[in-house]
Amino acid sequence: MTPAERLKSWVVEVQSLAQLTGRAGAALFQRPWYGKEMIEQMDLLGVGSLGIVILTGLFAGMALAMQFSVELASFGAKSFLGRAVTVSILRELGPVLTGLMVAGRVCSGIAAELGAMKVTQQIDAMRVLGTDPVKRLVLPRIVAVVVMLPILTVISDGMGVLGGFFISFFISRIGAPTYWSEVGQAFSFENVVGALIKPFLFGFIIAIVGCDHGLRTAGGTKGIGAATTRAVVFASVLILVANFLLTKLLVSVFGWAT
Amino acid sequence: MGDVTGDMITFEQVTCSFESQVVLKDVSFRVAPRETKVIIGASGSGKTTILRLILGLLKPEAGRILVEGQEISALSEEEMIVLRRKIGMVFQEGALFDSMTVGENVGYRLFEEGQLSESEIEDRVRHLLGFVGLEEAIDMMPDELSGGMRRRVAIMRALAAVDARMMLYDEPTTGLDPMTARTICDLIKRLRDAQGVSSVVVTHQMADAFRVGDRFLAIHDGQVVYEGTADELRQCRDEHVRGFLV
Repeated sequence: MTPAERLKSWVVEVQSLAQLTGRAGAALFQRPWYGKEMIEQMDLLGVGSLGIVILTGLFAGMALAMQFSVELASFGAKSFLGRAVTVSILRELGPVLTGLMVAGRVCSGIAAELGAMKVTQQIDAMRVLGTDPVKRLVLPRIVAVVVMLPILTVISDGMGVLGGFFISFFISRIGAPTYWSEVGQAFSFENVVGALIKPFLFGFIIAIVGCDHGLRTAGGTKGIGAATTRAVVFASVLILVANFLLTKLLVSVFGWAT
Repeated sequence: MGDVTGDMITFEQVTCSFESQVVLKDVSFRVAPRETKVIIGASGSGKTTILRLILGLLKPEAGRILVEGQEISALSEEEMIVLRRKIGMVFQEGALFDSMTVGENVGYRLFEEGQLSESEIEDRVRHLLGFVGLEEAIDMMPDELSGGMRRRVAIMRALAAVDARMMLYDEPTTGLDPMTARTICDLIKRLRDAQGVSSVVVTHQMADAFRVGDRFLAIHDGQVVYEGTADELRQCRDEHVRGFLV
Protein backbone atom coordinates (compact mmCIF):
# COMPACT_ATOMS: atom_id res chain seq x y z
CA MET A 1 0.00 0.00 0.00
CA THR A 2 1.44 3.38 -1.02
CA PRO A 3 1.47 6.27 1.48
CA ALA A 4 -1.28 7.98 -0.54
CA GLU A 5 -3.47 4.87 -0.41
CA ARG A 6 -2.82 4.48 3.30
CA LEU A 7 -3.78 8.11 3.91
CA LYS A 8 -6.93 7.65 1.83
CA SER A 9 -7.91 4.56 3.82
CA TRP A 10 -7.47 6.48 7.10
CA VAL A 11 -9.61 9.34 5.77
CA VAL A 12 -12.29 6.81 4.73
CA GLU A 13 -12.04 5.21 8.17
CA VAL A 14 -12.54 8.53 9.97
CA GLN A 15 -15.36 9.53 7.60
CA SER A 16 -17.14 6.25 8.23
CA LEU A 17 -16.76 6.66 12.00
CA ALA A 18 -18.12 10.21 11.81
CA GLN A 19 -21.13 9.08 9.77
CA LEU A 20 -21.93 6.23 12.15
CA THR A 21 -21.52 8.57 15.12
CA GLY A 22 -24.00 10.98 13.52
CA ARG A 23 -26.52 8.21 12.84
CA ALA A 24 -26.16 6.80 16.35
CA GLY A 25 -26.55 10.30 17.80
CA ALA A 26 -29.76 10.80 15.83
CA ALA A 27 -31.02 7.33 16.87
CA LEU A 28 -30.62 8.36 20.52
CA PHE A 29 -33.56 10.76 20.09
CA GLN A 30 -35.83 8.50 18.04
CA ARG A 31 -38.04 5.61 19.12
CA PRO A 32 -37.83 2.70 19.45
CA TRP A 33 -35.13 2.42 22.10
CA TYR A 34 -34.01 -1.09 22.75
CA GLY A 35 -33.75 -0.99 26.56
CA LYS A 36 -33.70 -4.76 26.97
CA GLU A 37 -30.90 -5.02 24.41
CA MET A 38 -28.94 -2.32 26.28
CA ILE A 39 -29.23 -4.19 29.59
CA GLU A 40 -28.15 -7.43 27.90
CA GLN A 41 -25.14 -5.70 26.37
CA MET A 42 -24.20 -4.12 29.71
CA ASP A 43 -24.18 -7.58 31.22
CA LEU A 44 -22.34 -9.18 28.32
CA LEU A 45 -19.77 -6.46 27.65
CA GLY A 46 -19.50 -4.91 31.10
CA VAL A 47 -20.04 -7.59 33.72
CA GLY A 48 -18.33 -10.08 31.42
CA SER A 49 -15.16 -7.95 31.49
CA LEU A 50 -15.04 -7.79 35.29
CA GLY A 51 -12.54 -10.63 35.76
CA ILE A 52 -9.98 -9.30 33.31
CA VAL A 53 -10.30 -5.78 34.72
CA ILE A 54 -9.81 -6.94 38.33
CA LEU A 55 -6.68 -8.88 37.41
CA THR A 56 -5.29 -6.04 35.30
CA GLY A 57 -5.84 -3.46 38.03
CA LEU A 58 -4.43 -5.66 40.80
CA PHE A 59 -1.22 -6.65 39.05
CA ALA A 60 -0.63 -3.21 37.54
CA GLY A 61 -1.00 -1.66 41.01
CA MET A 62 1.43 -4.18 42.54
CA ALA A 63 4.04 -3.65 39.81
CA LEU A 64 3.69 0.12 40.08
CA ALA A 65 4.07 0.03 43.85
CA MET A 66 7.23 -2.06 43.59
CA GLN A 67 8.80 0.37 41.11
CA PHE A 68 7.82 3.44 43.12
CA SER A 69 8.97 1.84 46.37
CA VAL A 70 12.52 1.48 45.06
CA GLU A 71 12.67 5.04 43.70
CA LEU A 72 11.00 6.70 46.68
CA ALA A 73 13.29 4.83 49.10
CA SER A 74 16.31 6.47 47.46
CA PHE A 75 14.81 9.87 48.40
CA GLY A 76 13.75 8.68 51.85
CA ALA A 77 10.14 9.25 50.77
CA LYS A 78 8.75 5.73 50.97
CA SER A 79 5.88 6.92 53.12
CA PHE A 80 4.44 8.71 50.07
CA LEU A 81 4.03 5.41 48.23
CA GLY A 82 0.25 5.34 48.65
CA ARG A 83 -0.17 8.78 47.11
CA ALA A 84 2.22 8.08 44.22
CA VAL A 85 0.49 4.83 43.34
CA THR A 86 -3.01 6.29 43.63
CA VAL A 87 -2.31 9.40 41.57
CA SER A 88 -0.67 7.33 38.83
CA ILE A 89 -3.57 4.91 38.76
CA LEU A 90 -6.34 7.50 38.90
CA ARG A 91 -4.88 9.84 36.31
CA GLU A 92 -3.35 7.46 33.78
CA LEU A 93 -2.84 3.78 34.42
CA GLY A 94 -6.38 2.89 35.46
CA PRO A 95 -8.30 4.50 32.57
CA VAL A 96 -5.75 3.62 29.88
CA LEU A 97 -5.05 0.03 30.95
CA THR A 98 -8.73 -0.69 31.51
CA GLY A 99 -9.58 0.94 28.19
CA LEU A 100 -6.99 -1.11 26.33
CA MET A 101 -7.98 -4.37 28.02
CA VAL A 102 -11.67 -3.78 27.36
CA ALA A 103 -10.84 -2.74 23.80
CA GLY A 104 -9.10 -6.10 23.31
CA ARG A 105 -12.06 -8.04 24.65
CA VAL A 106 -15.12 -5.96 23.78
CA CYS A 107 -14.14 -4.14 20.58
CA SER A 108 -13.05 -7.42 18.98
CA GLY A 109 -16.24 -9.12 20.19
CA ILE A 110 -18.47 -6.40 18.76
CA ALA A 111 -16.61 -6.33 15.43
CA ALA A 112 -16.71 -10.14 15.14
CA GLU A 113 -20.40 -10.40 16.06
CA LEU A 114 -21.59 -7.64 13.74
CA GLY A 115 -19.15 -8.80 11.06
CA ALA A 116 -20.58 -12.33 11.18
CA MET A 117 -24.09 -10.87 10.97
CA LYS A 118 -23.03 -8.80 7.98
CA VAL A 119 -21.47 -11.63 5.96
CA THR A 120 -24.39 -13.97 6.68
CA GLN A 121 -26.80 -11.23 5.48
CA GLN A 122 -28.47 -10.92 8.89
CA ILE A 123 -27.93 -7.13 8.81
CA ASP A 124 -29.65 -6.95 5.41
CA ALA A 125 -32.44 -9.19 6.72
CA MET A 126 -32.89 -6.80 9.63
CA ARG A 127 -33.20 -3.82 7.27
CA VAL A 128 -35.63 -5.73 5.06
CA LEU A 129 -37.72 -6.55 8.13
CA GLY A 130 -37.99 -2.85 8.87
CA THR A 131 -35.40 -2.45 11.63
CA ASP A 132 -32.64 0.14 11.56
CA PRO A 133 -29.45 -1.77 12.53
CA VAL A 134 -28.00 1.41 14.04
CA LYS A 135 -30.89 1.59 16.50
CA ARG A 136 -31.05 -2.11 17.22
CA LEU A 137 -27.35 -3.06 17.22
CA VAL A 138 -25.10 0.00 17.40
CA LEU A 139 -26.81 2.29 19.93
CA PRO A 140 -27.30 -0.38 22.64
CA ARG A 141 -23.62 -1.32 22.38
CA ILE A 142 -22.47 2.30 22.61
CA VAL A 143 -24.69 2.98 25.62
CA ALA A 144 -23.58 -0.27 27.28
CA VAL A 145 -19.85 0.35 26.92
CA VAL A 146 -20.07 4.08 27.75
CA VAL A 147 -21.98 3.26 30.95
CA MET A 148 -19.94 0.22 31.97
CA LEU A 149 -16.36 1.33 31.23
CA PRO A 150 -16.31 4.07 33.93
CA ILE A 151 -17.65 1.51 36.43
CA LEU A 152 -15.02 -1.01 35.36
CA THR A 153 -12.35 1.67 35.59
CA VAL A 154 -13.36 2.53 39.16
CA ILE A 155 -13.15 -1.17 40.05
CA SER A 156 -9.79 -1.48 38.31
CA ASP A 157 -8.51 1.64 40.12
CA GLY A 158 -9.66 0.20 43.43
CA MET A 159 -7.90 -3.09 42.75
CA GLY A 160 -4.75 -1.21 41.72
CA VAL A 161 -4.68 0.75 44.97
CA LEU A 162 -5.30 -2.49 46.89
CA GLY A 163 -2.46 -4.19 44.98
CA GLY A 164 -0.24 -1.26 45.89
CA PHE A 165 -1.18 -1.77 49.53
CA PHE A 166 -0.15 -5.44 49.42
CA ILE A 167 3.32 -4.49 48.18
CA SER A 168 3.55 -1.55 50.54
CA PHE A 169 2.57 -3.61 53.59
CA PHE A 170 4.21 -6.99 52.94
CA ILE A 171 7.34 -6.00 50.99
CA SER A 172 8.09 -2.32 51.59
CA ARG A 173 7.03 -2.61 55.25
CA ILE A 174 4.98 0.59 55.26
CA GLY A 175 2.27 0.66 57.88
CA ALA A 176 -1.34 0.42 56.75
CA PRO A 177 -2.41 3.78 58.33
CA THR A 178 0.43 5.58 56.53
CA TYR A 179 -0.44 4.00 53.17
CA TRP A 180 -4.19 4.60 53.38
CA SER A 181 -3.71 8.13 54.69
CA GLU A 182 -1.60 8.95 51.60
CA VAL A 183 -4.18 7.27 49.37
CA GLY A 184 -6.82 9.57 50.86
CA GLN A 185 -4.64 12.60 50.07
CA ALA A 186 -4.60 11.58 46.40
CA PHE A 187 -8.38 11.62 46.12
CA SER A 188 -8.58 15.28 45.15
CA PHE A 189 -11.43 16.66 43.01
CA GLU A 190 -9.12 17.03 40.00
CA ASN A 191 -7.84 13.47 40.18
CA VAL A 192 -11.29 11.99 40.57
CA VAL A 193 -12.70 14.07 37.69
CA GLY A 194 -9.74 13.09 35.53
CA ALA A 195 -10.25 9.45 36.42
CA LEU A 196 -13.92 9.51 35.47
CA ILE A 197 -13.91 11.63 32.30
CA LYS A 198 -11.49 9.47 30.35
CA PRO A 199 -13.41 6.16 30.51
CA PHE A 200 -16.53 7.77 29.01
CA LEU A 201 -14.59 8.81 25.93
CA PHE A 202 -12.66 5.53 25.75
CA GLY A 203 -15.92 3.58 26.04
CA PHE A 204 -17.39 5.50 23.15
CA ILE A 205 -14.27 4.89 21.05
CA ILE A 206 -14.34 1.14 21.78
CA ALA A 207 -18.01 0.74 20.87
CA ILE A 208 -18.12 2.95 17.78
CA VAL A 209 -14.93 1.49 16.29
CA GLY A 210 -16.09 -2.09 16.93
CA CYS A 211 -19.53 -1.42 15.41
CA ASP A 212 -18.15 0.48 12.43
CA HIS A 213 -15.62 -2.21 11.51
CA GLY A 214 -18.20 -4.94 12.06
CA LEU A 215 -20.79 -3.28 9.84
CA ARG A 216 -18.21 -2.72 7.09
CA THR A 217 -17.02 -6.33 7.09
CA ALA A 218 -16.75 -7.98 3.70
CA GLY A 219 -15.16 -11.15 2.43
CA GLY A 220 -16.49 -14.03 4.53
CA THR A 221 -14.74 -15.50 7.56
CA LYS A 222 -11.38 -14.09 6.46
CA GLY A 223 -12.99 -10.66 6.37
CA ILE A 224 -14.33 -11.11 9.90
CA GLY A 225 -10.83 -11.89 11.18
CA ALA A 226 -9.36 -8.88 9.40
CA ALA A 227 -12.14 -6.56 10.61
CA THR A 228 -11.66 -7.75 14.20
CA THR A 229 -7.92 -7.17 14.15
CA ARG A 230 -8.28 -3.78 12.49
CA ALA A 231 -10.93 -2.73 15.00
CA VAL A 232 -8.76 -3.57 18.03
CA VAL A 233 -5.67 -1.87 16.59
CA PHE A 234 -7.61 1.22 15.54
CA ALA A 235 -9.45 1.50 18.87
CA SER A 236 -6.22 1.04 20.86
CA VAL A 237 -4.40 3.73 18.89
CA LEU A 238 -7.38 6.09 19.20
CA ILE A 239 -7.52 5.50 22.97
CA LEU A 240 -3.84 6.37 23.34
CA VAL A 241 -4.16 9.49 21.17
CA ALA A 242 -7.36 10.57 22.94
CA ASN A 243 -5.68 9.96 26.31
CA PHE A 244 -2.84 12.30 25.40
CA LEU A 245 -5.19 15.02 24.18
CA LEU A 246 -7.47 14.68 27.19
CA THR A 247 -4.52 14.72 29.58
CA LYS A 248 -3.27 17.89 27.90
CA LEU A 249 -6.73 19.41 28.35
CA LEU A 250 -6.94 18.37 32.01
CA VAL A 251 -3.48 19.73 32.71
CA SER A 252 -4.56 23.08 31.26
CA VAL A 253 -7.91 23.12 33.05
CA PHE A 254 -6.65 22.06 36.49
CA GLY A 255 -3.34 23.88 36.21
CA TRP A 256 -1.22 20.87 37.04
CA ALA A 257 2.45 21.85 36.91
CA THR A 258 4.31 20.19 34.01
CA MET B 1 -52.29 -1.46 -6.33
CA GLY B 2 -49.86 -1.45 -9.26
CA ASP B 3 -48.54 1.39 -11.40
CA VAL B 4 -50.37 2.75 -14.48
CA THR B 5 -49.46 -0.44 -16.32
CA GLY B 6 -50.64 -2.49 -13.33
CA ASP B 7 -47.16 -3.87 -12.68
CA MET B 8 -45.86 -4.67 -9.20
CA ILE B 9 -42.19 -4.08 -10.08
CA THR B 10 -40.77 -2.08 -12.98
CA PHE B 11 -37.11 -1.72 -13.95
CA GLU B 12 -36.38 0.93 -16.58
CA GLN B 13 -32.87 1.11 -18.02
CA VAL B 14 -31.29 0.40 -14.63
CA THR B 15 -27.52 0.57 -14.34
CA CYS B 16 -25.62 -0.28 -11.19
CA SER B 17 -21.92 -0.58 -10.51
CA PHE B 18 -19.57 -1.21 -7.59
CA GLU B 19 -16.61 1.16 -7.77
CA SER B 20 -15.38 0.72 -11.35
CA GLN B 21 -17.16 -2.60 -12.07
CA VAL B 22 -20.49 -2.38 -13.88
CA VAL B 23 -22.78 -5.05 -12.40
CA LEU B 24 -26.02 -4.21 -14.25
CA LYS B 25 -26.31 -2.28 -17.49
CA ASP B 26 -29.59 -0.89 -18.91
CA VAL B 27 -31.71 -3.62 -17.33
CA SER B 28 -35.45 -3.32 -18.00
CA PHE B 29 -38.27 -5.69 -17.06
CA ARG B 30 -41.65 -5.79 -15.36
CA VAL B 31 -43.32 -8.11 -12.87
CA ALA B 32 -47.12 -8.30 -13.16
CA PRO B 33 -49.49 -8.99 -10.24
CA ARG B 34 -49.67 -12.71 -9.32
CA GLU B 35 -46.73 -13.37 -11.63
CA THR B 36 -43.63 -15.36 -10.67
CA LYS B 37 -40.66 -14.07 -12.58
CA VAL B 38 -37.56 -16.24 -12.53
CA ILE B 39 -34.19 -14.61 -13.08
CA ILE B 40 -31.52 -16.99 -14.31
CA GLY B 41 -27.85 -16.38 -14.90
CA ALA B 42 -24.39 -17.51 -13.92
CA SER B 43 -22.91 -16.68 -10.52
CA GLY B 44 -21.80 -13.05 -10.46
CA SER B 45 -24.03 -12.06 -13.36
CA GLY B 46 -25.96 -9.54 -11.25
CA LYS B 47 -29.06 -11.54 -10.24
CA THR B 48 -28.87 -10.89 -6.51
CA THR B 49 -28.08 -7.22 -7.20
CA ILE B 50 -31.52 -6.93 -8.83
CA LEU B 51 -33.17 -8.15 -5.61
CA ARG B 52 -31.09 -5.76 -3.51
CA LEU B 53 -32.12 -2.89 -5.79
CA ILE B 54 -35.82 -3.77 -5.46
CA LEU B 55 -35.42 -3.67 -1.68
CA GLY B 56 -33.52 -0.38 -1.76
CA LEU B 57 -30.48 -1.98 -0.13
CA LEU B 58 -28.57 -0.60 -3.12
CA LYS B 59 -29.24 2.51 -5.19
CA PRO B 60 -29.00 2.45 -9.01
CA GLU B 61 -26.60 4.73 -10.79
CA ALA B 62 -29.03 5.32 -13.61
CA GLY B 63 -32.56 4.32 -14.55
CA ARG B 64 -35.80 4.03 -12.60
CA ILE B 65 -37.15 1.34 -10.29
CA LEU B 66 -40.84 1.37 -9.44
CA VAL B 67 -42.47 -0.78 -6.78
CA GLU B 68 -46.27 -0.69 -7.00
CA GLY B 69 -45.94 2.43 -9.09
CA GLN B 70 -43.76 4.28 -6.59
CA GLU B 71 -40.28 5.22 -7.71
CA ILE B 72 -37.92 4.06 -5.00
CA SER B 73 -34.55 5.35 -6.24
CA ALA B 74 -34.87 8.63 -4.37
CA LEU B 75 -36.53 7.32 -1.19
CA SER B 76 -34.77 7.73 2.15
CA GLU B 77 -33.99 4.72 4.39
CA GLU B 78 -36.98 5.63 6.63
CA GLU B 79 -39.31 5.69 3.60
CA MET B 80 -37.85 2.43 2.35
CA ILE B 81 -38.53 0.79 5.73
CA VAL B 82 -42.24 1.55 5.21
CA LEU B 83 -42.17 0.27 1.62
CA ARG B 84 -40.31 -2.91 2.58
CA ARG B 85 -43.31 -3.96 4.69
CA LYS B 86 -44.98 -4.89 1.38
CA ILE B 87 -42.05 -7.02 0.25
CA GLY B 88 -40.90 -10.30 1.74
CA MET B 89 -37.35 -11.44 1.09
CA VAL B 90 -35.91 -14.92 1.47
CA PHE B 91 -32.14 -14.68 1.52
CA GLN B 92 -29.75 -17.29 0.26
CA GLU B 93 -29.12 -19.64 3.23
CA GLY B 94 -32.06 -18.00 5.02
CA ALA B 95 -30.13 -15.29 6.91
CA LEU B 96 -31.96 -16.26 10.11
CA PHE B 97 -30.91 -14.38 13.24
CA ASP B 98 -28.69 -16.95 14.88
CA SER B 99 -29.11 -15.58 18.41
CA MET B 100 -32.90 -16.05 18.28
CA THR B 101 -35.12 -19.12 18.29
CA VAL B 102 -37.12 -20.15 15.26
CA GLY B 103 -40.24 -18.67 16.86
CA GLU B 104 -38.49 -15.35 17.57
CA ASN B 105 -37.21 -15.27 14.00
CA VAL B 106 -40.64 -15.84 12.46
CA GLY B 107 -42.31 -13.40 14.84
CA TYR B 108 -39.49 -10.84 14.62
CA ARG B 109 -41.46 -8.12 12.87
CA LEU B 110 -44.51 -8.69 15.06
CA PHE B 111 -42.42 -8.36 18.22
CA GLU B 112 -40.84 -5.18 16.81
CA GLU B 113 -44.21 -3.59 16.01
CA GLY B 114 -45.46 -4.37 19.50
CA GLN B 115 -49.12 -4.26 18.46
CA LEU B 116 -49.94 -7.85 19.41
CA SER B 117 -49.59 -9.56 22.77
CA GLU B 118 -46.96 -12.28 23.17
CA SER B 119 -49.60 -15.00 23.14
CA GLU B 120 -51.16 -13.60 19.95
CA ILE B 121 -47.75 -13.52 18.30
CA GLU B 122 -47.05 -17.08 19.41
CA ASP B 123 -50.38 -18.24 17.96
CA ARG B 124 -49.60 -16.52 14.66
CA VAL B 125 -46.08 -17.94 14.58
CA ARG B 126 -47.33 -21.46 15.34
CA HIS B 127 -49.91 -21.12 12.57
CA LEU B 128 -47.26 -20.04 10.07
CA LEU B 129 -44.83 -22.75 11.12
CA GLY B 130 -47.62 -25.29 10.88
CA PHE B 131 -48.13 -24.19 7.26
CA VAL B 132 -44.65 -25.59 6.46
CA GLY B 133 -44.73 -28.47 8.94
CA LEU B 134 -42.29 -26.93 11.40
CA GLU B 135 -44.50 -26.18 14.42
CA GLU B 136 -42.37 -28.49 16.58
CA ALA B 137 -39.25 -26.44 15.77
CA ILE B 138 -40.56 -23.24 17.36
CA ASP B 139 -38.09 -23.31 20.27
CA MET B 140 -35.11 -24.57 18.29
CA MET B 141 -32.12 -22.39 17.35
CA PRO B 142 -31.31 -21.88 13.65
CA ASP B 143 -28.06 -23.88 13.87
CA GLU B 144 -30.10 -26.94 14.90
CA LEU B 145 -32.05 -26.85 11.62
CA SER B 146 -31.24 -28.47 8.29
CA GLY B 147 -30.78 -26.32 5.18
CA GLY B 148 -34.31 -27.00 3.98
CA MET B 149 -35.85 -26.25 7.37
CA ARG B 150 -33.90 -22.97 7.54
CA ARG B 151 -35.18 -21.99 4.10
CA ARG B 152 -38.80 -22.77 5.12
CA VAL B 153 -38.45 -20.78 8.34
CA ALA B 154 -37.01 -17.88 6.32
CA ILE B 155 -40.02 -17.93 3.99
CA MET B 156 -42.39 -17.86 6.95
CA ARG B 157 -40.43 -15.04 8.58
CA ALA B 158 -40.78 -13.04 5.38
CA LEU B 159 -44.51 -13.80 5.19
CA ALA B 160 -45.13 -12.89 8.82
CA ALA B 161 -43.39 -9.57 8.31
CA VAL B 162 -45.37 -8.30 5.36
CA ASP B 163 -48.87 -8.35 4.04
CA ALA B 164 -47.62 -10.79 1.43
CA ARG B 165 -47.96 -8.72 -1.76
CA MET B 166 -44.53 -9.49 -3.13
CA MET B 167 -41.89 -12.07 -2.35
CA LEU B 168 -38.29 -12.11 -3.45
CA TYR B 169 -36.31 -15.38 -3.29
CA ASP B 170 -32.54 -15.54 -3.60
CA GLU B 171 -31.48 -19.07 -4.63
CA PRO B 172 -34.25 -20.66 -2.53
CA THR B 173 -33.40 -24.24 -3.50
CA THR B 174 -29.65 -24.13 -3.99
CA GLY B 175 -27.87 -26.80 -1.98
CA LEU B 176 -31.06 -28.66 -1.06
CA ASP B 177 -31.93 -32.26 -1.88
CA PRO B 178 -34.57 -32.72 -4.65
CA MET B 179 -37.39 -33.56 -2.21
CA THR B 180 -36.80 -30.49 -0.07
CA ALA B 181 -36.34 -28.31 -3.15
CA ARG B 182 -39.71 -29.54 -4.44
CA THR B 183 -41.32 -28.65 -1.09
CA ILE B 184 -39.95 -25.11 -1.33
CA CYS B 185 -41.15 -24.79 -4.95
CA ASP B 186 -44.61 -26.01 -3.99
CA LEU B 187 -44.69 -23.42 -1.22
CA ILE B 188 -43.77 -20.62 -3.65
CA LYS B 189 -46.54 -21.77 -6.02
CA ARG B 190 -49.03 -22.09 -3.17
CA LEU B 191 -48.37 -18.49 -2.12
CA ARG B 192 -49.00 -17.29 -5.68
CA ASP B 193 -52.15 -19.35 -6.21
CA ALA B 194 -53.72 -19.04 -2.76
CA GLN B 195 -52.70 -15.52 -1.80
CA GLY B 196 -51.99 -13.86 -5.15
CA VAL B 197 -48.40 -13.05 -4.24
CA SER B 198 -46.11 -11.73 -6.99
CA SER B 199 -42.63 -13.21 -6.83
CA VAL B 200 -39.15 -12.76 -8.19
CA VAL B 201 -37.06 -15.92 -7.91
CA VAL B 202 -33.33 -15.81 -8.54
CA THR B 203 -31.91 -19.24 -9.28
CA HIS B 204 -29.71 -21.28 -11.52
CA GLN B 205 -31.54 -24.52 -10.72
CA MET B 206 -33.41 -24.89 -14.02
CA ALA B 207 -35.71 -27.73 -12.92
CA ASP B 208 -36.94 -25.58 -10.02
CA ALA B 209 -37.12 -22.51 -12.26
CA PHE B 210 -39.52 -24.27 -14.66
CA ARG B 211 -41.50 -25.61 -11.71
CA VAL B 212 -42.30 -22.16 -10.26
CA GLY B 213 -41.79 -19.64 -13.08
CA ASP B 214 -44.42 -17.87 -15.19
CA ARG B 215 -41.94 -15.71 -17.04
CA PHE B 216 -38.16 -15.82 -17.27
CA LEU B 217 -35.38 -13.30 -17.45
CA ALA B 218 -31.83 -14.34 -18.34
CA ILE B 219 -28.93 -12.13 -17.29
CA HIS B 220 -25.41 -12.34 -18.65
CA ASP B 221 -22.63 -9.97 -17.60
CA GLY B 222 -25.19 -7.58 -16.13
CA GLN B 223 -27.35 -7.37 -19.25
CA VAL B 224 -30.70 -8.93 -20.12
CA VAL B 225 -30.16 -11.49 -22.87
CA TYR B 226 -33.63 -13.03 -22.78
CA GLU B 227 -37.13 -12.40 -21.45
CA GLY B 228 -40.20 -14.55 -22.10
CA THR B 229 -42.23 -17.60 -21.15
CA ALA B 230 -41.00 -21.12 -20.37
CA ASP B 231 -41.85 -22.37 -23.88
CA GLU B 232 -40.09 -19.44 -25.51
CA LEU B 233 -37.11 -20.01 -23.24
CA ARG B 234 -36.80 -23.62 -24.43
CA GLN B 235 -36.73 -22.37 -28.05
CA CYS B 236 -34.23 -19.60 -27.32
CA ARG B 237 -31.09 -19.68 -29.50
CA ASP B 238 -28.93 -17.38 -27.35
CA GLU B 239 -25.76 -19.27 -26.51
CA HIS B 240 -25.72 -18.09 -22.86
CA VAL B 241 -29.32 -19.22 -22.36
CA ARG B 242 -28.69 -22.52 -24.15
CA GLY B 243 -25.81 -23.10 -21.75
CA PHE B 244 -28.29 -23.12 -18.89
CA LEU B 245 -30.81 -25.37 -20.58
CA VAL B 246 -28.39 -28.11 -21.55
